[in-house]
Amino acid sequence: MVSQQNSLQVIGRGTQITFTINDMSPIKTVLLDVEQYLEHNSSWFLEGSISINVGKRMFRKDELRQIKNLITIKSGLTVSKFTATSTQVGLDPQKTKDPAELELVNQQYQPEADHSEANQREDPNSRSGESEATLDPEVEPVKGVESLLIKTPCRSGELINYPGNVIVMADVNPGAQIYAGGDIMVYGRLRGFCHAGSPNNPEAVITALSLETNILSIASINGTSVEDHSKPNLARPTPKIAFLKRGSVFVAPYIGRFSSYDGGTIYDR
Amino acid sequence: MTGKTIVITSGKGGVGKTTTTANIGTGLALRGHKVVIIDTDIGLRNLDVVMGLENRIVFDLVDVIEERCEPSKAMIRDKHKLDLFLIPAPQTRDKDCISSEQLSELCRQLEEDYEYIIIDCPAGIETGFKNAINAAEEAIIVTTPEVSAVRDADRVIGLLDAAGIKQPRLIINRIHPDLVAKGDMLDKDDIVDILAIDIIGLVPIDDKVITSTNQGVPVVHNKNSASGAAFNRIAGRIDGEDIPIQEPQSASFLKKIKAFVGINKGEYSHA
Repeated sequence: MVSQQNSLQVIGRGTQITFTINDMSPIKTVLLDVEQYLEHNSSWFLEGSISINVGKRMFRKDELRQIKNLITIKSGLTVSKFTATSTQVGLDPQKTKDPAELELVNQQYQPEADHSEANQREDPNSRSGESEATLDPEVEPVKGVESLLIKTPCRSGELINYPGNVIVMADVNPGAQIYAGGDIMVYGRLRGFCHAGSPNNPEAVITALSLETNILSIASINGTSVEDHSKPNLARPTPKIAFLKRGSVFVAPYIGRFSSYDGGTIYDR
Repeated sequence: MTGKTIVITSGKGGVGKTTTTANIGTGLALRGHKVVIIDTDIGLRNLDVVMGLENRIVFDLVDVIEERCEPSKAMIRDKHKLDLFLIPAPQTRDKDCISSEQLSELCRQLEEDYEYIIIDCPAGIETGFKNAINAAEEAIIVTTPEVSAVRDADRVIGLLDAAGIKQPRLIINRIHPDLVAKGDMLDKDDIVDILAIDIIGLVPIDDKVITSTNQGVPVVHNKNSASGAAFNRIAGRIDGEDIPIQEPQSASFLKKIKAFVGINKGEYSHA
Protein backbone atom coordinates (compact mmCIF):
# COMPACT_ATOMS: atom_id res chain seq x y z
CA MET A 1 0.00 0.00 0.00
CA VAL A 2 1.21 3.47 -0.82
CA SER A 3 -0.45 6.60 0.40
CA GLN A 4 0.54 10.24 -0.10
CA GLN A 5 -0.37 13.18 2.07
CA ASN A 6 1.20 16.58 1.58
CA SER A 7 3.77 16.14 4.28
CA LEU A 8 3.65 12.40 4.69
CA GLN A 9 4.23 9.28 2.62
CA VAL A 10 3.26 5.88 3.98
CA ILE A 11 4.54 2.66 2.45
CA GLY A 12 3.51 -0.73 3.72
CA ARG A 13 5.28 -3.94 2.75
CA GLY A 14 4.05 -7.02 4.56
CA THR A 15 4.07 -6.18 8.21
CA GLN A 16 6.61 -3.37 7.77
CA ILE A 17 5.11 0.10 7.53
CA THR A 18 7.30 3.08 6.77
CA PHE A 19 6.30 6.68 7.37
CA THR A 20 8.41 9.08 5.36
CA ILE A 21 8.18 12.70 6.42
CA ASN A 22 8.54 15.49 3.89
CA ASP A 23 11.61 17.65 4.50
CA MET A 24 9.81 20.93 3.84
CA SER A 25 6.60 20.64 5.88
CA PRO A 26 6.57 22.32 9.28
CA ILE A 27 6.27 20.06 12.28
CA LYS A 28 2.72 21.15 13.13
CA THR A 29 1.50 20.18 9.66
CA VAL A 30 3.26 16.87 9.96
CA LEU A 31 1.59 16.06 13.27
CA LEU A 32 -1.80 17.05 11.91
CA ASP A 33 -1.33 14.94 8.79
CA VAL A 34 -0.22 11.92 10.80
CA GLU A 35 -3.25 12.21 13.04
CA GLN A 36 -5.64 12.60 10.13
CA TYR A 37 -4.08 9.79 8.21
CA LEU A 38 -4.28 7.34 11.11
CA GLU A 39 -7.87 8.25 11.88
CA HIS A 40 -8.94 7.58 8.30
CA ASN A 41 -6.96 4.39 7.83
CA SER A 42 -7.01 2.79 11.25
CA SER A 43 -8.20 -0.53 9.80
CA TRP A 44 -4.89 -0.95 7.95
CA PHE A 45 -2.89 -1.06 11.14
CA LEU A 46 -3.81 -4.39 12.66
CA GLU A 47 -0.36 -5.84 13.01
CA GLY A 48 3.26 -5.12 12.11
CA SER A 49 5.89 -2.63 13.10
CA ILE A 50 6.37 0.93 12.03
CA SER A 51 9.54 2.71 11.08
CA ILE A 52 9.77 6.43 10.54
CA ASN A 53 12.03 7.97 7.95
CA VAL A 54 12.66 11.58 8.92
CA GLY A 55 14.41 12.45 5.69
CA LYS A 56 17.12 15.07 5.80
CA ARG A 57 15.48 17.19 8.39
CA MET A 58 16.89 17.91 11.83
CA PHE A 59 14.17 17.15 14.38
CA ARG A 60 14.43 18.03 18.01
CA LYS A 61 14.18 15.15 20.42
CA ASP A 62 10.82 16.23 21.83
CA GLU A 63 9.47 16.58 18.29
CA LEU A 64 10.48 13.00 17.52
CA ARG A 65 8.84 11.86 20.73
CA GLN A 66 5.64 13.72 19.81
CA ILE A 67 5.47 11.93 16.45
CA LYS A 68 6.23 8.60 18.02
CA ASN A 69 3.61 8.96 20.76
CA LEU A 70 0.99 10.10 18.30
CA ILE A 71 1.55 7.08 16.04
CA THR A 72 1.64 4.66 18.97
CA ILE A 73 -1.62 5.94 20.42
CA LYS A 74 -3.54 6.28 17.16
CA SER A 75 -2.47 3.06 15.47
CA GLY A 76 -1.97 0.77 18.46
CA LEU A 77 1.35 -0.38 16.98
CA THR A 78 4.85 0.32 18.21
CA VAL A 79 7.44 2.40 16.40
CA SER A 80 10.43 0.09 16.03
CA LYS A 81 12.99 2.46 14.55
CA PHE A 82 13.80 5.87 13.16
CA THR A 83 15.79 6.15 9.97
CA ALA A 84 17.18 9.08 8.04
CA THR A 85 18.48 9.70 4.57
CA SER A 86 21.37 11.87 5.69
CA THR A 87 24.23 10.77 7.88
CA GLN A 88 23.50 13.42 10.46
CA VAL A 89 20.41 12.34 12.17
CA GLY A 90 17.47 13.57 14.00
CA LEU A 91 18.78 16.53 15.90
CA ASP A 92 19.36 20.14 15.02
CA PRO A 93 22.64 21.24 16.57
CA GLN A 94 21.39 24.84 16.37
CA LYS A 95 18.49 24.07 18.66
CA THR A 96 20.13 22.00 21.33
CA LYS A 97 23.74 21.76 22.39
CA ASP A 98 23.39 19.08 25.03
CA PRO A 99 25.64 16.13 24.04
CA ALA A 100 23.71 13.74 26.28
CA GLU A 101 20.54 14.39 24.29
CA LEU A 102 22.40 13.87 21.04
CA GLU A 103 23.56 10.53 22.39
CA LEU A 104 20.02 9.54 23.27
CA VAL A 105 18.60 10.17 19.84
CA ASN A 106 21.52 8.46 18.15
CA GLN A 107 20.72 5.35 20.14
CA GLN A 108 17.21 5.38 18.74
CA TYR A 109 18.56 5.70 15.24
CA GLN A 110 19.34 2.44 13.55
CA PRO A 111 21.02 2.34 10.18
CA GLU A 112 18.83 0.67 7.58
CA ALA A 113 21.54 -1.76 6.55
CA ASP A 114 21.88 -3.43 9.90
CA HIS A 115 20.08 -6.61 8.90
CA SER A 116 21.99 -7.32 5.75
CA GLU A 117 25.25 -8.50 7.20
CA ALA A 118 25.74 -12.24 7.19
CA ASN A 119 27.57 -13.53 10.15
CA GLN A 120 30.47 -15.65 9.02
CA ARG A 121 31.91 -17.86 11.60
CA GLU A 122 33.95 -20.95 11.77
CA ASP A 123 33.88 -21.84 15.38
CA PRO A 124 35.43 -25.22 16.09
CA ASN A 125 33.23 -25.54 19.15
CA SER A 126 30.11 -25.15 17.11
CA ARG A 127 30.39 -28.57 15.52
CA SER A 128 31.36 -31.81 17.05
CA GLY A 129 31.14 -35.46 16.28
CA GLU A 130 28.44 -36.21 18.76
CA SER A 131 26.92 -33.34 20.61
CA GLU A 132 24.30 -31.04 19.24
CA ALA A 133 25.86 -27.86 17.94
CA THR A 134 23.60 -24.93 18.52
CA LEU A 135 25.22 -21.53 18.42
CA ASP A 136 24.35 -18.94 21.04
CA PRO A 137 21.16 -20.47 22.35
CA GLU A 138 20.14 -17.21 24.02
CA VAL A 139 20.34 -15.15 20.83
CA GLU A 140 17.88 -16.44 18.30
CA PRO A 141 18.73 -14.95 14.93
CA VAL A 142 15.89 -13.61 12.84
CA LYS A 143 15.14 -16.17 10.14
CA GLY A 144 17.22 -15.72 7.06
CA VAL A 145 19.51 -13.21 8.66
CA GLU A 146 22.40 -15.02 10.32
CA SER A 147 24.44 -17.65 8.53
CA LEU A 148 26.85 -20.34 9.56
CA LEU A 149 29.72 -20.93 7.14
CA ILE A 150 31.33 -24.37 7.20
CA LYS A 151 34.45 -25.04 5.17
CA THR A 152 35.23 -28.63 6.11
CA PRO A 153 33.28 -31.70 4.96
CA CYS A 154 30.28 -32.64 7.08
CA ARG A 155 31.04 -36.23 7.91
CA SER A 156 28.95 -39.21 8.87
CA GLY A 157 27.54 -38.78 12.36
CA GLU A 158 27.99 -35.01 12.40
CA LEU A 159 24.95 -33.04 13.53
CA ILE A 160 24.61 -29.35 12.75
CA ASN A 161 21.66 -27.54 14.23
CA TYR A 162 21.55 -23.82 13.58
CA PRO A 163 18.63 -21.38 13.72
CA GLY A 164 19.83 -19.31 10.72
CA ASN A 165 21.13 -20.26 7.27
CA VAL A 166 23.81 -22.90 6.81
CA ILE A 167 26.37 -22.69 4.01
CA VAL A 168 28.70 -25.66 3.49
CA MET A 169 31.65 -25.07 1.18
CA ALA A 170 32.40 -28.80 1.03
CA ASP A 171 30.59 -32.11 0.73
CA VAL A 172 27.86 -33.31 3.05
CA ASN A 173 28.58 -37.01 3.40
CA PRO A 174 26.04 -39.78 3.97
CA GLY A 175 25.12 -40.01 7.63
CA ALA A 176 25.61 -36.29 8.31
CA GLN A 177 22.58 -34.26 9.42
CA ILE A 178 22.00 -30.55 8.98
CA TYR A 179 19.05 -28.73 10.54
CA ALA A 180 18.73 -25.04 9.68
CA GLY A 181 16.08 -22.49 10.56
CA GLY A 182 16.68 -20.83 7.19
CA ASP A 183 18.16 -22.01 3.90
CA ILE A 184 20.87 -24.60 3.34
CA MET A 185 23.41 -24.12 0.55
CA VAL A 186 25.89 -26.87 -0.23
CA TYR A 187 28.78 -25.95 -2.54
CA GLY A 188 29.61 -29.60 -3.07
CA ARG A 189 27.95 -32.99 -3.13
CA LEU A 190 24.93 -33.35 -0.89
CA ARG A 191 24.58 -36.97 0.19
CA GLY A 192 23.54 -36.49 3.81
CA PHE A 193 20.29 -35.39 5.36
CA CYS A 194 19.21 -31.75 5.20
CA HIS A 195 16.24 -30.12 6.89
CA ALA A 196 15.82 -26.48 5.89
CA GLY A 197 13.31 -24.18 7.52
CA SER A 198 13.29 -26.26 10.68
CA PRO A 199 10.88 -26.46 12.38
CA ASN A 200 8.35 -24.51 10.33
CA ASN A 201 9.55 -22.04 7.70
CA PRO A 202 8.02 -22.93 4.33
CA GLU A 203 10.01 -20.21 2.57
CA ALA A 204 13.29 -22.07 3.08
CA VAL A 205 15.12 -23.77 0.20
CA ILE A 206 17.99 -26.21 -0.16
CA THR A 207 20.52 -25.75 -2.94
CA ALA A 208 23.41 -28.04 -3.84
CA LEU A 209 25.95 -28.23 -6.65
CA SER A 210 25.27 -31.95 -6.88
CA LEU A 211 22.15 -33.18 -5.15
CA GLU A 212 22.57 -36.90 -4.52
CA THR A 213 20.16 -37.59 -1.71
CA ASN A 214 16.73 -39.15 -1.87
CA ILE A 215 15.38 -37.57 1.31
CA LEU A 216 14.93 -33.84 1.83
CA SER A 217 12.94 -31.97 4.44
CA ILE A 218 11.65 -28.41 4.27
CA ALA A 219 9.59 -26.97 7.12
CA SER A 220 7.44 -29.86 8.32
CA ILE A 221 7.33 -31.66 4.96
CA ASN A 222 9.52 -34.66 4.12
CA GLY A 223 10.23 -35.46 0.49
CA THR A 224 11.58 -38.73 -0.84
CA SER A 225 12.45 -39.91 -4.33
CA VAL A 226 13.56 -43.13 -5.94
CA GLU A 227 16.05 -41.54 -8.30
CA ASP A 228 19.34 -43.39 -8.64
CA HIS A 229 22.23 -41.21 -7.51
CA SER A 230 24.94 -43.85 -7.62
CA LYS A 231 26.49 -42.56 -10.84
CA PRO A 232 26.42 -38.77 -10.71
CA ASN A 233 27.86 -36.77 -13.57
CA LEU A 234 30.61 -35.07 -11.63
CA ALA A 235 32.32 -33.68 -14.69
CA ARG A 236 29.23 -31.58 -15.38
CA PRO A 237 27.08 -31.46 -12.27
CA THR A 238 23.70 -29.75 -12.38
CA PRO A 239 23.07 -27.50 -9.39
CA LYS A 240 19.66 -28.20 -7.94
CA ILE A 241 17.24 -26.34 -5.75
CA ALA A 242 14.62 -27.90 -3.50
CA PHE A 243 11.61 -25.85 -2.45
CA LEU A 244 8.07 -26.23 -1.19
CA LYS A 245 5.19 -25.92 -3.61
CA ARG A 246 1.59 -26.90 -2.88
CA GLY A 247 2.68 -28.67 0.30
CA SER A 248 5.25 -30.91 -1.40
CA VAL A 249 8.98 -30.80 -1.87
CA PHE A 250 10.01 -30.08 -5.48
CA VAL A 251 13.50 -30.26 -6.93
CA ALA A 252 14.44 -28.28 -10.02
CA PRO A 253 17.69 -27.34 -11.78
CA TYR A 254 19.00 -24.20 -10.15
CA ILE A 255 20.06 -21.68 -12.71
CA GLY A 256 21.20 -18.98 -10.36
CA ARG A 257 18.37 -16.48 -10.62
CA PHE A 258 16.71 -17.05 -7.34
CA SER A 259 13.17 -16.02 -8.13
CA SER A 260 12.91 -17.81 -11.45
CA TYR A 261 12.91 -21.41 -10.32
CA ASP A 262 9.75 -23.29 -11.10
CA GLY A 263 8.44 -26.67 -12.10
CA GLY A 264 10.77 -29.45 -11.16
CA THR A 265 10.24 -33.02 -10.09
CA ILE A 266 8.25 -33.81 -7.02
CA TYR A 267 9.82 -35.54 -4.02
CA ASP A 268 6.75 -37.39 -2.78
CA ARG A 269 5.67 -37.36 0.77
CA MET B 1 64.54 -39.18 22.22
CA THR B 2 61.01 -38.01 21.57
CA GLY B 3 58.88 -40.52 19.79
CA LYS B 4 55.60 -40.32 17.98
CA THR B 5 52.39 -42.09 18.90
CA ILE B 6 50.28 -43.24 15.97
CA VAL B 7 46.89 -44.90 16.30
CA ILE B 8 45.70 -47.35 13.64
CA THR B 9 41.91 -47.22 13.55
CA SER B 10 38.98 -47.86 11.23
CA GLY B 11 35.63 -47.87 13.00
CA LYS B 12 34.49 -51.00 11.22
CA GLY B 13 35.84 -54.34 12.32
CA GLY B 14 37.63 -56.82 10.11
CA VAL B 15 39.24 -54.36 7.69
CA GLY B 16 42.79 -55.23 8.75
CA LYS B 17 43.77 -52.89 11.60
CA THR B 18 45.73 -55.53 13.48
CA THR B 19 47.49 -56.82 10.38
CA THR B 20 48.33 -53.25 9.40
CA THR B 21 49.67 -52.48 12.89
CA ALA B 22 51.88 -55.57 12.86
CA ASN B 23 53.20 -54.82 9.39
CA ILE B 24 53.82 -51.11 9.90
CA GLY B 25 55.53 -51.80 13.24
CA THR B 26 57.72 -54.47 11.68
CA GLY B 27 58.38 -52.32 8.61
CA LEU B 28 59.58 -49.43 10.76
CA ALA B 29 61.71 -51.77 12.88
CA LEU B 30 63.26 -53.24 9.70
CA ARG B 31 64.31 -49.69 8.87
CA GLY B 32 66.25 -49.61 12.13
CA HIS B 33 63.81 -47.72 14.34
CA LYS B 34 62.90 -48.52 17.92
CA VAL B 35 59.20 -49.37 17.88
CA VAL B 36 56.58 -50.37 20.44
CA ILE B 37 53.21 -51.71 19.33
CA ILE B 38 50.39 -51.67 21.85
CA ASP B 39 47.28 -53.82 21.56
CA THR B 40 44.39 -51.89 23.13
CA ASP B 41 41.73 -54.39 22.11
CA ILE B 42 41.28 -55.56 25.70
CA GLY B 43 39.29 -58.78 25.90
CA LEU B 44 39.75 -59.60 22.19
CA ARG B 45 43.50 -59.55 21.74
CA ASN B 46 44.90 -60.56 18.36
CA LEU B 47 48.10 -58.67 17.78
CA ASP B 48 50.17 -61.22 19.70
CA VAL B 49 48.92 -63.99 17.39
CA VAL B 50 49.65 -61.98 14.25
CA MET B 51 53.17 -61.31 15.56
CA GLY B 52 53.62 -64.96 16.56
CA LEU B 53 54.26 -64.05 20.20
CA GLU B 54 51.25 -65.55 21.98
CA ASN B 55 53.34 -68.08 23.93
CA ARG B 56 55.56 -65.47 25.52
CA ILE B 57 52.96 -63.35 27.29
CA VAL B 58 53.44 -63.01 31.04
CA PHE B 59 52.38 -59.45 31.79
CA ASP B 60 50.03 -57.27 29.77
CA LEU B 61 48.84 -53.67 29.28
CA VAL B 62 46.57 -53.65 32.34
CA ASP B 63 49.37 -55.00 34.55
CA VAL B 64 51.48 -52.03 33.43
CA ILE B 65 48.69 -49.51 33.96
CA GLU B 66 47.75 -50.90 37.35
CA GLU B 67 51.46 -50.84 38.24
CA ARG B 68 51.87 -54.51 38.90
CA CYS B 69 54.97 -54.46 36.72
CA GLU B 70 57.32 -52.08 34.89
CA PRO B 71 56.49 -51.38 31.23
CA SER B 72 59.72 -53.12 30.20
CA LYS B 73 58.54 -56.36 31.84
CA ALA B 74 55.38 -56.43 29.74
CA MET B 75 57.15 -55.62 26.48
CA ILE B 76 57.75 -58.74 24.41
CA ARG B 77 60.56 -58.60 21.90
CA ASP B 78 59.93 -59.55 18.29
CA LYS B 79 60.92 -63.07 17.15
CA HIS B 80 63.42 -61.69 14.63
CA LYS B 81 65.33 -59.77 17.30
CA LEU B 82 64.39 -56.42 15.82
CA ASP B 83 64.02 -53.35 18.05
CA LEU B 84 60.31 -54.10 18.07
CA PHE B 85 58.31 -54.68 21.23
CA LEU B 86 54.70 -55.69 21.81
CA ILE B 87 52.60 -54.75 24.82
CA PRO B 88 49.72 -57.23 24.63
CA ALA B 89 46.19 -56.71 25.85
CA PRO B 90 44.73 -58.91 28.58
CA GLN B 91 42.15 -61.38 27.38
CA THR B 92 40.23 -61.64 30.65
CA ARG B 93 39.34 -57.99 31.29
CA ASP B 94 37.23 -55.41 29.49
CA LYS B 95 37.79 -51.97 27.94
CA ASP B 96 36.67 -50.03 31.02
CA CYS B 97 39.57 -51.18 33.16
CA ILE B 98 41.90 -48.52 31.71
CA SER B 99 41.32 -44.80 31.28
CA SER B 100 42.51 -42.59 28.44
CA GLU B 101 44.71 -40.59 30.86
CA GLN B 102 46.49 -43.72 32.00
CA LEU B 103 47.12 -44.85 28.42
CA SER B 104 48.30 -41.34 27.42
CA GLU B 105 50.69 -41.29 30.36
CA LEU B 106 52.14 -44.67 29.34
CA CYS B 107 52.62 -43.48 25.77
CA ARG B 108 54.36 -40.27 26.90
CA GLN B 109 56.64 -42.40 29.05
CA LEU B 110 57.44 -44.75 26.15
CA GLU B 111 58.06 -41.81 23.79
CA GLU B 112 61.14 -40.97 25.80
CA ASP B 113 62.84 -44.22 24.81
CA TYR B 114 61.24 -45.26 21.53
CA GLU B 115 60.78 -43.58 18.16
CA TYR B 116 57.39 -44.97 17.21
CA ILE B 117 54.55 -46.08 19.46
CA ILE B 118 51.84 -47.69 17.37
CA ILE B 119 48.45 -48.32 18.94
CA ASP B 120 46.16 -51.00 17.56
CA CYS B 121 42.69 -49.57 18.15
CA PRO B 122 39.69 -51.81 18.77
CA ALA B 123 36.73 -51.73 16.37
CA GLY B 124 33.78 -49.51 17.25
CA ILE B 125 33.69 -45.99 18.63
CA GLU B 126 33.18 -46.72 22.32
CA THR B 127 35.49 -46.61 25.34
CA GLY B 128 38.34 -48.61 23.80
CA PHE B 129 38.40 -46.39 20.73
CA LYS B 130 38.29 -43.20 22.80
CA ASN B 131 41.14 -44.36 25.01
CA ALA B 132 43.26 -45.22 21.98
CA ILE B 133 42.73 -41.98 20.05
CA ASN B 134 43.22 -39.75 23.09
CA ALA B 135 46.66 -41.26 23.63
CA ALA B 136 47.80 -40.64 20.04
CA GLU B 137 48.90 -37.55 18.23
CA GLU B 138 48.63 -38.97 14.72
CA ALA B 139 46.18 -41.39 13.18
CA ILE B 140 46.11 -43.78 10.27
CA ILE B 141 42.70 -44.91 9.07
CA VAL B 142 42.36 -48.32 7.49
CA THR B 143 39.47 -48.95 5.15
CA THR B 144 38.52 -51.42 2.46
CA PRO B 145 36.92 -50.48 -0.86
CA GLU B 146 33.42 -51.17 0.44
CA VAL B 147 30.69 -48.62 1.06
CA SER B 148 30.17 -49.76 4.65
CA ALA B 149 33.85 -49.49 5.58
CA VAL B 150 34.13 -46.08 3.90
CA ARG B 151 31.06 -44.83 5.79
CA ASP B 152 32.57 -45.92 9.10
CA ALA B 153 35.91 -44.36 8.20
CA ASP B 154 34.08 -41.10 7.49
CA ARG B 155 32.51 -41.20 10.94
CA VAL B 156 35.87 -41.95 12.55
CA ILE B 157 37.54 -39.05 10.75
CA GLY B 158 34.87 -36.76 12.20
CA LEU B 159 35.47 -38.14 15.70
CA LEU B 160 39.24 -37.79 15.32
CA ASP B 161 38.73 -34.20 14.22
CA ALA B 162 36.65 -33.53 17.32
CA ALA B 163 39.38 -35.16 19.44
CA GLY B 164 42.03 -32.86 17.95
CA ILE B 165 43.71 -35.17 15.41
CA LYS B 166 43.34 -33.04 12.31
CA GLN B 167 45.28 -34.79 9.53
CA PRO B 168 44.65 -38.52 9.61
CA ARG B 169 46.04 -40.51 6.71
CA LEU B 170 44.37 -43.30 4.84
CA ILE B 171 45.31 -46.86 3.95
CA ILE B 172 43.00 -48.63 1.52
CA ASN B 173 43.36 -52.32 2.19
CA ARG B 174 42.32 -55.37 0.17
CA ILE B 175 42.03 -53.74 -3.22
CA HIS B 176 41.06 -56.16 -6.00
CA PRO B 177 42.81 -54.68 -9.04
CA ASP B 178 40.73 -56.78 -11.43
CA LEU B 179 37.43 -55.61 -9.98
CA VAL B 180 38.60 -52.00 -9.96
CA ALA B 181 39.64 -52.30 -13.61
CA LYS B 182 36.18 -53.63 -14.48
CA GLY B 183 34.54 -50.83 -12.52
CA ASP B 184 32.90 -53.19 -10.05
CA MET B 185 34.77 -51.89 -7.01
CA LEU B 186 35.19 -48.46 -5.48
CA ASP B 187 38.51 -47.13 -6.66
CA LYS B 188 41.02 -44.91 -4.91
CA ASP B 189 39.54 -41.71 -6.30
CA ASP B 190 35.98 -42.57 -5.22
CA ILE B 191 37.13 -43.13 -1.67
CA VAL B 192 39.30 -40.02 -1.49
CA ASP B 193 36.39 -38.07 -2.92
CA ILE B 194 34.20 -39.06 0.02
CA LEU B 195 36.77 -38.96 2.81
CA ALA B 196 38.83 -35.97 1.62
CA ILE B 197 42.04 -37.02 3.37
CA ASP B 198 45.52 -37.96 2.14
CA ILE B 199 46.36 -41.51 1.17
CA ILE B 200 49.44 -43.08 2.72
CA GLY B 201 49.17 -46.44 1.04
CA LEU B 202 47.20 -48.83 -1.15
CA VAL B 203 47.41 -52.52 -0.27
CA PRO B 204 46.21 -55.15 -2.74
CA ILE B 205 44.42 -58.26 -1.59
CA ASP B 206 46.92 -61.06 -1.14
CA ASP B 207 46.62 -64.67 0.01
CA LYS B 208 50.05 -64.40 1.56
CA VAL B 209 48.61 -62.15 4.29
CA ILE B 210 46.50 -65.06 5.48
CA THR B 211 49.34 -67.58 5.47
CA SER B 212 51.76 -65.20 7.13
CA THR B 213 49.22 -64.31 9.81
CA ASN B 214 48.75 -67.98 10.57
CA GLN B 215 52.51 -68.43 10.77
CA GLY B 216 52.91 -65.40 13.01
CA VAL B 217 55.31 -63.65 10.63
CA PRO B 218 54.10 -60.30 9.29
CA VAL B 219 53.95 -60.27 5.50
CA VAL B 220 56.25 -57.24 5.32
CA HIS B 221 59.18 -59.64 5.83
CA ASN B 222 58.33 -61.05 2.39
CA LYS B 223 59.40 -58.25 0.06
CA ASN B 224 58.35 -60.28 -2.97
CA SER B 225 54.69 -60.26 -2.04
CA ALA B 226 52.58 -57.41 -3.38
CA SER B 227 51.08 -56.66 0.03
CA GLY B 228 54.43 -56.94 1.84
CA ALA B 229 55.99 -54.46 -0.58
CA ALA B 230 53.00 -52.15 -0.13
CA PHE B 231 53.33 -52.22 3.68
CA ASN B 232 57.06 -51.63 3.34
CA ARG B 233 56.39 -48.52 1.27
CA ILE B 234 53.85 -47.33 3.87
CA ALA B 235 56.49 -47.73 6.61
CA GLY B 236 58.85 -45.66 4.46
CA ARG B 237 56.25 -42.91 4.04
CA ILE B 238 55.61 -42.81 7.80
CA ASP B 239 59.37 -42.55 8.19
CA GLY B 240 59.27 -39.39 6.06
CA GLU B 241 60.53 -40.82 2.77
CA ASP B 242 58.99 -39.50 -0.40
CA ILE B 243 57.69 -42.65 -2.09
CA PRO B 244 55.04 -42.18 -4.79
CA ILE B 245 51.71 -43.96 -4.31
CA GLN B 246 51.51 -47.04 -6.56
CA GLU B 247 48.17 -48.33 -7.71
CA PRO B 248 47.94 -52.13 -7.45
CA GLN B 249 48.14 -53.72 -10.90
CA SER B 250 46.10 -56.68 -11.96
CA ALA B 251 47.95 -59.89 -12.75
CA SER B 252 49.49 -60.12 -16.18
CA PHE B 253 48.12 -62.49 -18.78
CA LEU B 254 51.10 -64.84 -18.38
CA LYS B 255 50.57 -65.08 -14.61
CA LYS B 256 46.91 -65.85 -15.14
CA ILE B 257 47.89 -68.72 -17.46
CA LYS B 258 50.39 -69.93 -14.87
CA ALA B 259 47.75 -69.72 -12.17
CA PHE B 260 45.36 -71.65 -14.38
CA VAL B 261 47.78 -74.52 -14.91
CA GLY B 262 48.85 -74.43 -11.25
CA ILE B 263 52.39 -73.12 -11.46
CA ASN B 264 51.70 -69.72 -9.95
CA LYS B 265 54.92 -68.35 -8.54
CA GLY B 266 53.94 -64.76 -9.06
CA GLU B 267 53.42 -62.29 -6.27
CA TYR B 268 49.81 -61.63 -7.01
CA SER B 269 46.84 -63.87 -6.54
CA HIS B 270 43.42 -62.90 -5.46
CA ALA B 271 40.86 -64.74 -3.43
